[in-house]
Amino acid sequence: MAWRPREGQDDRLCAAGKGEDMSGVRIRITVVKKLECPELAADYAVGSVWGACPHHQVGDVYEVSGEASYPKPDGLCAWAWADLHRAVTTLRYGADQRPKLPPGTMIVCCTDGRRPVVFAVERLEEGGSG
Amino acid sequence: MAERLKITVVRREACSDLIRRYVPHGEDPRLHTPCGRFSDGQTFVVSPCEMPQGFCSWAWADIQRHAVWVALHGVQPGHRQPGTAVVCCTDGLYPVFFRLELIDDES
Repeated sequence: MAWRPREGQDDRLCAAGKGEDMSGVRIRITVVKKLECPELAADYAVGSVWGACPHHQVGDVYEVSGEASYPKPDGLCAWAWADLHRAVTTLRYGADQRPKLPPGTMIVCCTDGRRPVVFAVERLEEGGSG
Repeated sequence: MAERLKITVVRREACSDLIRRYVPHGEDPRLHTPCGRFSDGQTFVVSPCEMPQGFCSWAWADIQRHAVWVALHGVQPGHRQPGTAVVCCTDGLYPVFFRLELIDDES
């Protein structure tokens, strides 16, 4: 069996692997950048989709925890949630992209190529704000 | 004439501010180049709904449903030309942008 806890891996997640409660795992989603693609928008976008995405502002923060199915946080774009959900689940299950990124962190953008929004998805330390 | 799905790499980005902020040793200039899996202007032409050979599997997982919408004659709102879509993969540090088009096979 190849799996073993990584050094420093969250104890709660190892416990969850044994079927224990993992409702305390909290994932924070922060809008960190909005990309604009004027050269693409000019060819492919109409109306209000010129320029950066109006739905989110840099600094918007959302948090998910608790319920097993992780419902979409209020206010988060449903399209973005569909694109982010795998990363959220990856972190929730204790996986991460180290050493490319710090443990518990993923940087993910939505798939709207005309004006993607970039999100930092982070697993919060127990009891802390991350 | 058979329909084909054409995928074109239209832009590659390296988000330097985020790389510096989040990536360990993010000041290293070698980290500030766009994704090497694709090149600008690269094209793939495939049967509708088929994954192109050599395509990045991560990117395909991200854009596959968009490709299916285009391949099955969907029209995505906000796009000037019906039968096209502009999408990107979900790598927030090194996103690659693709144009998807339904075309007639001229071969």
